[in-house]
Amino acid sequence: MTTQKDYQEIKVIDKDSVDTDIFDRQKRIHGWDQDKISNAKVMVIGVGATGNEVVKNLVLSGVGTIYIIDFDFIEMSNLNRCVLFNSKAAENNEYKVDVVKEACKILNPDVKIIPIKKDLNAIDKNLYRECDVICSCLDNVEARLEANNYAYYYDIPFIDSGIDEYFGTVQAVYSKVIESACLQCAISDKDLELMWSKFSCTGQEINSEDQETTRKIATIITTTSIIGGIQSQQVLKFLLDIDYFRKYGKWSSQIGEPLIGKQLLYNGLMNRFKIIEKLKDPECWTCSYKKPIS
Amino acid sequence: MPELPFEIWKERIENEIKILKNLNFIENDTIAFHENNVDFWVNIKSLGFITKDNTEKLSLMPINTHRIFIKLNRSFPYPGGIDLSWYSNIFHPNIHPIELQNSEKPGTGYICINILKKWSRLSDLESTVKSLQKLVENPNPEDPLNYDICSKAAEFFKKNPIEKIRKNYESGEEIEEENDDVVIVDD
Repeated sequence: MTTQKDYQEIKVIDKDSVDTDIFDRQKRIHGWDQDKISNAKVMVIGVGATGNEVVKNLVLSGVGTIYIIDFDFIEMSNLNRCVLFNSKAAENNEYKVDVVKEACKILNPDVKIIPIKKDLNAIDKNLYRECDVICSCLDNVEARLEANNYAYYYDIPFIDSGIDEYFGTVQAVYSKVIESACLQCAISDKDLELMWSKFSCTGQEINSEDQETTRKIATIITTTSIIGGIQSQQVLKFLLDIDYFRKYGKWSSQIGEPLIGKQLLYNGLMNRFKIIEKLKDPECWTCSYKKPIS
Repeated sequence: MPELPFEIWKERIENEIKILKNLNFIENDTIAFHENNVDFWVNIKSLGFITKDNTEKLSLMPINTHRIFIKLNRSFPYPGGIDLSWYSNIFHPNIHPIELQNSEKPGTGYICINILKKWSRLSDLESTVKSLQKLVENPNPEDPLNYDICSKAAEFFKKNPIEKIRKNYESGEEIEEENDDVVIVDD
Protein backbone atom coordinates (compact mmCIF):
# COMPACT_ATOMS: atom_id res chain seq x y z
CA MET A 1 0.00 0.00 0.00
CA THR A 2 1.38 3.38 -0.91
CA THR A 3 1.51 5.80 1.97
CA GLN A 4 1.03 9.48 1.45
CA LYS A 5 4.73 10.16 2.01
CA ASP A 6 5.85 7.69 -0.61
CA TYR A 7 3.31 9.06 -2.97
CA GLN A 8 4.82 12.52 -2.73
CA GLU A 9 8.25 11.23 -3.65
CA ILE A 10 7.03 9.70 -6.88
CA LYS A 11 8.03 12.06 -9.62
CA VAL A 12 5.48 13.43 -11.96
CA ILE A 13 7.04 13.95 -15.33
CA ASP A 14 5.23 16.24 -17.66
CA LYS A 15 4.65 14.42 -20.93
CA ASP A 16 5.17 17.55 -22.96
CA SER A 17 8.57 18.25 -21.51
CA VAL A 18 10.11 14.88 -22.34
CA ASP A 19 11.91 16.28 -25.33
CA THR A 20 11.91 19.99 -24.54
CA ASP A 21 13.25 20.14 -20.98
CA ILE A 22 17.06 20.24 -21.06
CA PHE A 23 17.31 18.39 -17.77
CA ASP A 24 14.53 15.85 -18.35
CA ARG A 25 16.80 12.81 -18.38
CA GLN A 26 18.73 13.66 -15.25
CA LYS A 27 15.55 14.57 -13.39
CA ARG A 28 14.53 10.93 -13.78
CA ILE A 29 17.28 9.93 -11.34
CA HIS A 30 16.00 9.03 -7.86
CA GLY A 31 16.82 11.70 -5.35
CA TRP A 32 17.59 14.28 -8.01
CA ASP A 33 16.45 17.82 -7.32
CA GLN A 34 17.23 20.17 -10.18
CA ASP A 35 16.44 23.22 -8.04
CA LYS A 36 19.29 22.36 -5.67
CA ILE A 37 21.63 22.20 -8.65
CA SER A 38 20.35 25.42 -10.22
CA ASN A 39 20.69 27.36 -6.99
CA ALA A 40 24.18 26.05 -6.20
CA LYS A 41 27.41 28.00 -6.25
CA VAL A 42 30.55 26.01 -7.00
CA MET A 43 34.13 27.21 -7.05
CA VAL A 44 36.53 25.58 -9.49
CA ILE A 45 40.14 26.46 -8.78
CA GLY A 46 42.31 26.00 -11.85
CA VAL A 47 40.78 25.59 -15.30
CA GLY A 48 43.48 23.52 -16.90
CA ALA A 49 42.89 20.04 -18.23
CA THR A 50 40.80 18.66 -15.34
CA GLY A 51 39.22 22.06 -14.69
CA ASN A 52 37.86 22.15 -18.23
CA GLU A 53 36.20 18.77 -17.77
CA VAL A 54 34.74 19.69 -14.41
CA VAL A 55 33.39 23.04 -15.60
CA LYS A 56 31.93 21.43 -18.73
CA ASN A 57 30.15 18.78 -16.67
CA LEU A 58 28.82 21.26 -14.13
CA VAL A 59 27.63 23.69 -16.81
CA LEU A 60 25.77 20.99 -18.71
CA SER A 61 24.22 19.69 -15.46
CA GLY A 62 22.85 23.17 -14.88
CA VAL A 63 24.80 24.32 -11.80
CA GLY A 64 23.63 27.91 -11.15
CA THR A 65 26.84 29.81 -10.49
CA ILE A 66 30.43 28.75 -11.08
CA TYR A 67 33.41 30.77 -9.89
CA ILE A 68 36.47 29.93 -11.94
CA ILE A 69 39.86 30.96 -10.62
CA ASP A 70 42.98 30.91 -12.79
CA PHE A 71 45.55 33.58 -13.57
CA ASP A 72 47.13 31.70 -16.45
CA PHE A 73 46.98 32.22 -20.22
CA ILE A 74 46.20 29.62 -22.88
CA GLU A 75 49.15 28.06 -24.67
CA MET A 76 49.11 25.96 -27.83
CA SER A 77 50.25 22.98 -25.76
CA ASN A 78 46.97 23.09 -23.74
CA LEU A 79 44.79 22.30 -26.74
CA ASN A 80 45.21 18.52 -26.75
CA ARG A 81 43.19 18.13 -23.58
CA CYS A 82 41.02 21.18 -22.96
CA VAL A 83 37.55 20.92 -24.45
CA LEU A 84 36.63 24.57 -23.84
CA PHE A 85 39.76 26.15 -25.33
CA ASN A 86 40.34 26.96 -28.97
CA SER A 87 43.33 27.57 -31.20
CA LYS A 88 42.47 31.22 -31.86
CA ALA A 89 42.54 31.97 -28.13
CA ALA A 90 45.85 30.13 -27.87
CA GLU A 91 47.35 32.24 -30.65
CA ASN A 92 46.27 35.41 -28.86
CA ASN A 93 47.43 34.08 -25.46
CA GLU A 94 44.09 34.89 -23.88
CA TYR A 95 43.19 34.34 -20.23
CA LYS A 96 41.96 30.79 -19.60
CA VAL A 97 39.01 31.97 -17.51
CA ASP A 98 37.77 34.38 -20.21
CA VAL A 99 37.81 31.71 -22.89
CA VAL A 100 36.10 29.17 -20.62
CA LYS A 101 33.38 31.71 -19.85
CA GLU A 102 32.67 32.32 -23.53
CA ALA A 103 32.61 28.60 -24.29
CA CYS A 104 30.18 27.95 -21.42
CA LYS A 105 27.76 30.55 -22.77
CA ILE A 106 27.28 28.36 -25.80
CA LEU A 107 26.91 25.16 -23.76
CA ASN A 108 24.33 26.58 -21.36
CA PRO A 109 23.47 30.29 -21.39
CA ASP A 110 21.60 30.06 -18.06
CA VAL A 111 24.71 29.30 -16.04
CA LYS A 112 26.45 32.26 -14.45
CA ILE A 113 30.22 32.00 -14.81
CA ILE A 114 32.29 34.37 -12.69
CA PRO A 115 35.92 34.48 -13.84
CA ILE A 116 38.62 35.51 -11.37
CA LYS A 117 42.05 36.22 -12.81
CA LYS A 118 44.03 35.96 -9.60
CA ASP A 119 46.45 33.75 -7.82
CA LEU A 120 44.58 31.69 -5.24
CA ASN A 121 46.24 33.39 -2.26
CA ALA A 122 45.18 36.80 -3.58
CA ILE A 123 41.43 36.13 -3.64
CA ASP A 124 39.00 37.46 -1.07
CA LYS A 125 38.72 34.74 1.58
CA ASN A 126 34.99 35.41 1.97
CA LEU A 127 34.50 33.92 -1.46
CA TYR A 128 35.11 30.46 0.03
CA ARG A 129 32.17 30.91 2.37
CA GLU A 130 29.81 31.86 -0.42
CA CYS A 131 30.30 28.56 -2.21
CA ASP A 132 28.44 25.30 -1.64
CA VAL A 133 31.28 23.13 -2.92
CA ILE A 134 34.91 23.89 -3.75
CA CYS A 135 36.84 21.96 -6.39
CA SER A 136 40.56 22.08 -6.95
CA CYS A 137 41.96 21.08 -10.32
CA LEU A 138 45.50 22.19 -9.64
CA ASP A 139 49.04 21.22 -10.49
CA ASN A 140 50.79 22.12 -7.25
CA VAL A 141 50.59 21.13 -3.59
CA GLU A 142 50.81 24.69 -2.24
CA ALA A 143 47.54 25.94 -3.73
CA ARG A 144 45.80 22.63 -2.96
CA LEU A 145 46.66 22.94 0.69
CA GLU A 146 45.52 26.54 0.84
CA ALA A 147 42.15 25.63 -0.67
CA ASN A 148 41.93 22.64 1.69
CA ASN A 149 42.70 24.80 4.72
CA TYR A 150 40.09 27.45 3.99
CA ALA A 151 37.42 24.98 2.85
CA TYR A 152 37.93 22.96 6.03
CA TYR A 153 37.85 26.03 8.25
CA TYR A 154 34.65 27.35 6.68
CA ASP A 155 33.00 23.88 6.68
CA ILE A 156 32.63 23.79 2.88
CA PRO A 157 32.93 20.42 1.08
CA PHE A 158 36.16 20.32 -0.90
CA ILE A 159 37.10 17.94 -3.69
CA ASP A 160 40.66 17.62 -4.86
CA SER A 161 41.97 15.83 -7.91
CA GLY A 162 45.33 15.02 -9.39
CA ILE A 163 46.47 13.48 -12.65
CA ASP A 164 49.69 12.06 -13.99
CA GLU A 165 49.83 10.17 -17.30
CA TYR A 166 47.50 7.17 -16.91
CA PHE A 167 47.02 7.71 -13.20
CA GLY A 168 44.71 9.91 -11.25
CA THR A 169 43.31 10.54 -7.78
CA VAL A 170 40.20 12.12 -6.33
CA GLN A 171 39.71 12.93 -2.67
CA ALA A 172 36.97 14.80 -0.85
CA VAL A 173 37.34 16.68 2.42
CA TYR A 174 34.44 17.75 4.60
CA SER A 175 34.92 19.06 8.12
CA LYS A 176 31.44 18.02 9.29
CA VAL A 177 32.49 14.38 9.03
CA ILE A 178 34.70 14.81 12.06
CA GLU A 179 36.65 11.57 11.91
CA SER A 180 37.70 12.09 8.26
CA ALA A 181 41.13 13.24 7.18
CA CYS A 182 41.95 16.44 5.29
CA LEU A 183 44.71 16.95 2.73
CA GLN A 184 47.08 18.49 5.27
CA CYS A 185 46.90 15.28 7.37
CA ALA A 186 48.88 13.39 4.74
CA ILE A 187 51.54 16.03 4.05
CA SER A 188 54.98 14.54 4.58
CA ASP A 189 58.31 16.15 5.30
CA LYS A 190 59.24 15.33 1.72
CA ASP A 191 56.34 17.47 0.46
CA LEU A 192 57.45 20.35 2.66
CA GLU A 193 60.98 19.97 1.37
CA LEU A 194 59.75 20.15 -2.22
CA MET A 195 57.80 23.31 -1.46
CA TRP A 196 60.88 24.81 0.12
CA SER A 197 63.13 23.84 -2.79
CA LYS A 198 61.93 26.97 -4.59
CA PHE A 199 63.74 29.01 -1.97
CA SER A 200 67.42 29.40 -1.15
CA CYS A 201 68.75 28.42 2.26
CA THR A 202 68.41 31.99 3.56
CA GLY A 203 64.75 32.16 2.55
CA GLN A 204 64.93 34.16 -0.68
CA GLU A 205 62.85 32.93 -3.59
CA ILE A 206 64.77 31.39 -6.47
CA ASN A 207 63.43 32.48 -9.83
CA SER A 208 64.38 29.69 -12.11
CA GLU A 209 62.81 29.14 -15.51
CA ASP A 210 64.24 25.64 -15.68
CA GLN A 211 62.17 24.73 -12.68
CA GLU A 212 59.00 25.83 -14.49
CA THR A 213 59.62 23.49 -17.41
CA THR A 214 60.75 20.54 -15.36
CA ARG A 215 57.63 20.76 -13.23
CA LYS A 216 55.33 20.08 -16.19
CA ILE A 217 53.87 16.60 -16.10
CA ALA A 218 52.65 14.27 -18.81
CA THR A 219 48.88 14.28 -19.29
CA ILE A 220 46.32 12.99 -21.75
CA ILE A 221 42.66 13.90 -22.05
CA THR A 222 41.39 10.36 -21.47
CA THR A 223 42.74 10.39 -17.92
CA THR A 224 41.64 13.95 -17.24
CA SER A 225 38.11 13.26 -18.43
CA ILE A 226 37.85 10.18 -16.22
CA ILE A 227 39.15 12.04 -13.18
CA GLY A 228 37.23 15.23 -14.03
CA GLY A 229 34.10 13.12 -14.45
CA ILE A 230 34.47 11.51 -11.04
CA GLN A 231 35.28 14.84 -9.45
CA SER A 232 32.24 16.60 -10.89
CA GLN A 233 30.06 13.69 -9.84
CA GLN A 234 31.30 14.19 -6.29
CA VAL A 235 30.23 17.83 -6.58
CA LEU A 236 26.72 16.82 -7.65
CA LYS A 237 26.50 14.28 -4.83
CA PHE A 238 27.33 16.93 -2.28
CA LEU A 239 24.90 19.42 -3.78
CA LEU A 240 22.03 16.93 -3.88
CA ASP A 241 22.56 15.26 -0.56
CA ILE A 242 24.12 17.72 1.84
CA ASP A 243 20.73 18.80 3.23
CA TYR A 244 19.91 15.17 4.00
CA PHE A 245 23.29 14.74 5.71
CA ARG A 246 22.83 17.87 7.81
CA LYS A 247 19.42 16.63 8.91
CA TYR A 248 20.11 12.95 9.56
CA GLY A 249 23.91 12.77 9.92
CA LYS A 250 24.19 10.21 7.11
CA TRP A 251 24.04 10.15 3.35
CA SER A 252 20.88 9.02 1.56
CA SER A 253 20.87 5.72 -0.25
CA GLN A 254 19.60 7.32 -3.43
CA ILE A 255 22.63 9.56 -3.91
CA GLY A 256 25.23 7.62 -1.94
CA GLU A 257 28.14 8.71 0.16
CA PRO A 258 30.83 10.99 -1.30
CA LEU A 259 34.52 10.03 -0.99
CA ILE A 260 35.04 11.97 2.24
CA GLY A 261 38.38 11.19 3.89
CA LYS A 262 38.96 8.57 1.22
CA GLN A 263 41.06 8.71 -1.86
CA LEU A 264 40.07 7.12 -5.12
CA LEU A 265 43.07 5.97 -7.12
CA TYR A 266 42.73 5.31 -10.82
CA ASN A 267 45.29 3.20 -12.62
CA GLY A 268 44.76 3.36 -16.37
CA LEU A 269 47.48 0.84 -17.13
CA MET A 270 45.84 -1.85 -14.99
CA ASN A 271 42.28 -0.62 -15.74
CA ARG A 272 41.72 -0.47 -12.04
CA PHE A 273 40.12 1.75 -9.44
CA LYS A 274 41.05 1.52 -5.80
CA ILE A 275 39.74 3.40 -2.80
CA ILE A 276 41.91 3.89 0.23
CA GLU A 277 40.98 5.44 3.54
CA LYS A 278 43.18 8.36 4.54
CA LEU A 279 44.45 8.47 8.11
CA LYS A 280 43.52 11.50 10.17
CA ASP A 281 46.46 13.13 11.88
CA PRO A 282 45.39 14.13 15.42
CA GLU A 283 47.99 16.90 15.36
CA CYS A 284 47.22 18.11 11.85
CA TRP A 285 47.94 21.83 11.40
CA THR A 286 44.54 22.38 9.81
CA CYS A 287 41.96 19.97 11.10
CA SER A 288 43.13 19.66 14.72
CA TYR A 289 42.13 23.29 15.29
CA LYS A 290 39.09 23.64 17.54
CA LYS A 291 36.96 26.66 16.89
CA PRO A 292 36.10 28.57 20.07
CA ILE A 293 32.46 28.04 20.96
CA SER A 294 30.71 31.35 20.61
CA MET B 1 53.38 28.94 0.07
CA PRO B 2 49.99 27.95 1.38
CA GLU B 3 48.56 29.65 4.41
CA LEU B 4 46.35 28.64 7.31
CA PRO B 5 43.13 30.57 7.95
CA PHE B 6 43.88 33.60 10.11
CA GLU B 7 42.37 32.27 13.37
CA ILE B 8 44.31 28.98 13.17
CA TRP B 9 47.50 30.85 12.31
CA LYS B 10 47.05 33.30 15.17
CA GLU B 11 46.41 30.62 17.78
CA ARG B 12 49.43 28.65 16.66
CA ILE B 13 51.73 31.69 16.70
CA GLU B 14 50.54 32.79 20.11
CA ASN B 15 51.31 29.33 21.51
CA GLU B 16 54.77 29.24 19.99
CA ILE B 17 55.66 32.72 21.17
CA LYS B 18 54.52 31.80 24.66
CA ILE B 19 56.98 28.89 24.71
CA LEU B 20 59.84 31.14 23.58
CA LYS B 21 58.88 33.71 26.17
CA ASN B 22 58.98 31.11 28.94
CA LEU B 23 62.47 30.16 27.81
CA ASN B 24 63.51 33.84 28.10
CA PHE B 25 64.52 34.16 24.48
CA ILE B 26 62.34 37.12 23.62
CA GLU B 27 63.40 40.68 24.40
CA ASN B 28 60.89 42.40 26.64
CA ASP B 29 58.07 44.32 24.98
CA THR B 30 59.27 43.77 21.45
CA ILE B 31 56.44 41.57 20.19
CA ALA B 32 54.45 43.48 17.58
CA PHE B 33 51.35 42.02 15.96
CA HIS B 34 50.60 43.39 12.50
CA GLU B 35 47.82 42.55 10.10
CA ASN B 36 49.72 39.85 8.27
CA ASN B 37 52.77 39.18 10.38
CA VAL B 38 54.24 39.19 13.84
CA ASP B 39 57.73 40.38 14.67
CA PHE B 40 59.96 40.47 17.74
CA TRP B 41 63.58 40.53 18.85
CA VAL B 42 65.32 37.46 20.20
CA ASN B 43 68.42 37.34 22.37
CA ILE B 44 70.41 34.14 22.37
CA LYS B 45 73.37 33.27 24.50
CA SER B 46 76.15 31.16 23.08
CA LEU B 47 79.85 31.50 22.48
CA GLY B 48 80.68 33.11 19.15
CA PHE B 49 83.55 35.23 17.90
CA ILE B 50 84.05 38.58 16.27
CA THR B 51 87.17 39.95 14.64
CA LYS B 52 89.24 42.47 16.47
CA ASP B 53 90.10 45.67 14.66
CA ASN B 54 93.24 47.75 14.65
CA THR B 55 95.59 44.80 14.46
CA GLU B 56 97.33 43.76 11.32
CA LYS B 57 96.79 40.13 12.14
CA LEU B 58 93.35 38.55 12.10
CA SER B 59 92.47 38.15 15.73
CA LEU B 60 89.24 37.08 17.39
CA MET B 61 87.47 37.96 20.54
CA PRO B 62 84.48 36.24 22.10
CA ILE B 63 80.92 37.47 22.01
CA ASN B 64 78.27 35.81 24.12
CA THR B 65 74.95 37.46 23.35
CA HIS B 66 73.44 37.77 19.91
CA ARG B 67 70.46 39.73 18.71
CA ILE B 68 68.17 38.44 15.99
CA PHE B 69 65.06 39.98 14.45
CA ILE B 70 62.36 37.40 13.74
CA LYS B 71 59.31 37.96 11.59
CA LEU B 72 56.63 35.32 11.25
CA ASN B 73 54.56 35.79 8.12
CA ARG B 74 51.26 34.26 6.99
CA SER B 75 53.01 31.20 5.54
CA PHE B 76 53.94 30.00 9.01
CA PRO B 77 54.08 27.06 9.91
CA TYR B 78 54.70 26.13 6.28
CA PRO B 79 58.29 26.46 5.06
CA GLY B 80 59.24 30.08 4.46
CA GLY B 81 57.06 31.28 7.31
CA ILE B 82 60.00 32.52 9.37
CA ASP B 83 62.11 35.49 8.26
CA LEU B 84 65.32 35.71 10.26
CA SER B 85 67.73 38.66 10.26
CA TRP B 86 70.89 38.42 12.28
CA TYR B 87 71.51 41.86 13.74
CA SER B 88 74.54 41.82 16.06
CA ASN B 89 78.04 41.50 14.68
CA ILE B 90 79.54 38.02 14.36
CA PHE B 91 82.40 36.46 12.41
CA HIS B 92 80.76 33.40 10.96
CA PRO B 93 80.71 31.67 7.56
CA ASN B 94 76.95 31.09 7.58
CA ILE B 95 75.80 34.42 9.00
CA HIS B 96 75.97 37.83 7.33
CA PRO B 97 75.05 40.19 10.18
CA ILE B 98 73.42 43.57 9.64
CA GLU B 99 75.75 45.26 12.09
CA LEU B 100 78.92 44.59 10.11
CA GLN B 101 82.25 45.64 11.48
CA ASN B 102 84.43 47.96 9.37
CA SER B 103 81.82 48.19 6.71
CA GLU B 104 80.14 51.28 5.28
CA LYS B 105 76.88 49.62 4.44
CA PRO B 106 75.00 47.17 6.66
CA GLY B 107 74.99 43.44 5.99
CA THR B 108 71.97 41.51 4.74
CA GLY B 109 71.17 39.71 7.99
CA TYR B 110 70.94 36.42 6.07
CA ILE B 111 71.46 33.15 7.91
CA CYS B 112 72.06 29.85 6.15
CA ILE B 113 70.63 27.25 8.44
CA ASN B 114 69.70 23.65 7.83
CA ILE B 115 66.49 23.58 9.87
CA LEU B 116 64.85 26.00 7.43
CA LYS B 117 65.96 23.91 4.47
CA LYS B 118 64.78 20.68 6.09
CA TRP B 119 61.59 22.13 7.53
CA SER B 120 59.44 19.29 8.85
CA ARG B 121 55.98 18.79 10.29
CA LEU B 122 57.49 18.88 13.75
CA SER B 123 59.66 21.97 13.27
CA ASP B 124 58.65 25.01 15.21
CA LEU B 125 59.84 28.36 16.49
CA GLU B 126 61.51 26.86 19.56
CA SER B 127 63.59 24.37 17.58
CA THR B 128 64.54 27.12 15.13
CA VAL B 129 65.81 29.48 17.80
CA LYS B 130 67.65 26.66 19.56
CA SER B 131 69.31 25.67 16.32
CA LEU B 132 70.49 29.27 15.84
CA GLN B 133 72.18 28.89 19.19
CA LYS B 134 73.86 25.73 17.93
CA LEU B 135 74.83 27.39 14.66
CA VAL B 136 76.89 30.00 16.50
CA GLU B 137 78.86 27.25 18.22
CA ASN B 138 79.16 25.06 15.13
CA PRO B 139 79.99 27.07 12.01
CA ASN B 140 79.87 25.14 8.77
CA PRO B 141 82.82 26.39 6.69
CA GLU B 142 82.04 23.93 3.88
CA ASP B 143 78.93 25.87 2.85
CA PRO B 144 79.54 29.60 3.41
CA LEU B 145 77.31 32.46 2.29
CA ASN B 146 78.48 34.30 -0.77
CA TYR B 147 79.87 37.42 0.91
CA ASP B 148 83.48 38.44 1.41
CA ILE B 149 83.36 38.38 5.19
CA CYS B 150 81.65 34.96 5.20
CA SER B 151 84.16 33.46 2.79
CA LYS B 152 86.90 34.87 4.96
CA ALA B 153 85.29 33.27 8.01
CA ALA B 154 84.95 29.97 6.15
CA GLU B 155 88.62 30.00 5.25
CA PHE B 156 89.53 30.84 8.80
CA PHE B 157 87.39 28.11 10.39
CA LYS B 158 88.64 25.54 7.90
CA LYS B 159 92.18 26.15 9.07
CA ASN B 160 91.26 26.54 12.73
CA PRO B 161 88.53 24.18 13.82
CA ILE B 162 86.04 25.78 16.17
CA GLU B 163 86.67 23.14 18.85
CA LYS B 164 90.27 24.22 19.05
CA ILE B 165 89.45 27.91 19.19
CA ARG B 166 86.89 27.31 21.89
CA LYS B 167 89.29 25.19 23.92
CA ASN B 168 91.94 27.88 23.69
CA TYR B 169 89.47 30.48 24.77
CA GLU B 170 88.25 28.40 27.71
CA SER B 171 91.74 27.74 28.96
CA GLY B 172 92.41 31.47 28.70
CA GLU B 173 95.48 31.10 26.55
CA GLU B 174 96.54 33.48 23.85
CA ILE B 175 97.61 31.40 20.94
CA GLU B 176 99.14 32.29 17.66
CA GLU B 177 98.65 29.75 14.93
CA GLU B 178 101.69 28.60 13.02
CA ASN B 179 100.17 28.48 9.62
CA ASP B 180 97.99 31.53 9.90
CA ASP B 181 98.06 34.91 11.53
CA VAL B 182 95.66 34.01 14.28
CA VAL B 183 95.57 35.41 17.74
CA ILE B 184 92.80 34.88 20.20
CA VAL B 185 92.49 37.75 22.56
CA ASP B 186 90.50 37.40 25.72
CA ASP B 187 89.01 40.72 26.68
